[in-house]
Amino acid sequence: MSTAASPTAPADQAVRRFKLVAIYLPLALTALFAAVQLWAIPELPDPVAVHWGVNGHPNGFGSAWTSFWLTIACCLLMTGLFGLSVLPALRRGDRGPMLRFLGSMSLGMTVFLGGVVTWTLLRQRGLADAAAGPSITLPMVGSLALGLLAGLVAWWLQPHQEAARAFEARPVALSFAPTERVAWMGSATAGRGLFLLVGGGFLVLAGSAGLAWLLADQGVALIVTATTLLVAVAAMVTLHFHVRIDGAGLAIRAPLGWPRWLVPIGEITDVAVIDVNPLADFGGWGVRMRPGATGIILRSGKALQVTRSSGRKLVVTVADPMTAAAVLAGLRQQIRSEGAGQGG
Amino acid sequence: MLIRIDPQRAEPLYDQLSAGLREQLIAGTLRPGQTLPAARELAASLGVNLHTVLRAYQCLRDEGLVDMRRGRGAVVTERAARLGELRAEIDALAKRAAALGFSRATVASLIKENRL
Repeated sequence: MSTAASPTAPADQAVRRFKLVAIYLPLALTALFAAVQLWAIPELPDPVAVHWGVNGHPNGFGSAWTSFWLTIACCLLMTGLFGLSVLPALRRGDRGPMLRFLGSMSLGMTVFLGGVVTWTLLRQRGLADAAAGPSITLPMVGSLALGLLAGLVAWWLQPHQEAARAFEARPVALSFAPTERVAWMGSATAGRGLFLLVGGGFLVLAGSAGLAWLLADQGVALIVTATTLLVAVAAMVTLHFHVRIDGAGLAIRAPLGWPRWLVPIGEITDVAVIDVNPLADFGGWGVRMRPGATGIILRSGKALQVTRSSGRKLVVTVADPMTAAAVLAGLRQQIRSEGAGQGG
Repeated sequence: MLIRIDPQRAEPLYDQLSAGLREQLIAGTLRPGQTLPAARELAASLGVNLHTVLRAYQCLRDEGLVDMRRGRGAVVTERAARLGELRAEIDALAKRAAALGFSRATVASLIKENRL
């Protein structure tokens, strides 16, 4: 699986192998799990055990059909999620170990999830009463192991990829006089989808908290209220960030004041505008970390990327990243000319 | 929003600041309803006195381009959006003056003294 081959061969292979391990195989396995569950259902007790306590004994029961449909739905959802997020990135030419990893995750998760449910159902065949059924320990550990193995196989099947981006632009630096002072202020705001998700989630929780205080006992109400507050705080660091570029550097901060980042101009070795895909590049939305990079990723699309002297990258989905990049590059040049003038 | 000032230039800093802000308004990067950056933050960012920024904001307020609201700061007015309607004519005037060999200061003074 060397990349020394012609430029097109590894490119096609990355996409083909990803489709194989992250979409076709999980779909086939989901169908297999569904078939096995269908075959087992006639001999299962009604209801079946669907939840196990800490000691391993069944303590929650439900319909076998619910398990069946849930497994299929979850596996399809996950496959769709991984596929829909990574495939467009691969197709447009993005590459990298992260994309390869997500492909492995897709297969691994399907094996684990489908495996644990199917396994527990199979073990309840022939039982008269699900409460007397076996513990979940073996299926859980076994499915986890199989999931990890599947993930490794999926990793091995995909070609090695050096991180590379299809879109990476370096706008022309603005030219600043040596004594000129510059302030650029912008913001990174959540896209509509993320906003609706977080906002909607918060509203549902707030409503539930209200209901809980009225109808449920105090313990439950407190927990729901605490969760609502937690989500409110999380929303404050996921929906909007203030971005400022001036002589002090690139400053990013949440409305609450924290978290915040400050990259001094002198520490910046590269400024670029990239096309970012939240799920494929950073594994999701919000404040994200991945090997070598931190991201404030509130939407997909063009984002500002700066590389620090430490090698680490900072990516932020600020509005109008082209101007931001031009200003940053201009400030870098201003500092360099200043240094050259003083030294010369 | 991009503001550039230069202490080396003859023009007073608050004038440069108001001019820069007016540019953003006519270009549409600052829109009606938007709040200008907090005066303290902009002052720190540009390394100028807080009162320089406040003076520039007050200038714009006197021109009807921003409103000072308690708790919110300087908010761009609806009227400011109409500045954009002058843009084409200003561009044309600047070009014509240059073609005729006259400086912008000349044109600016003529507009200022215009008796209409």
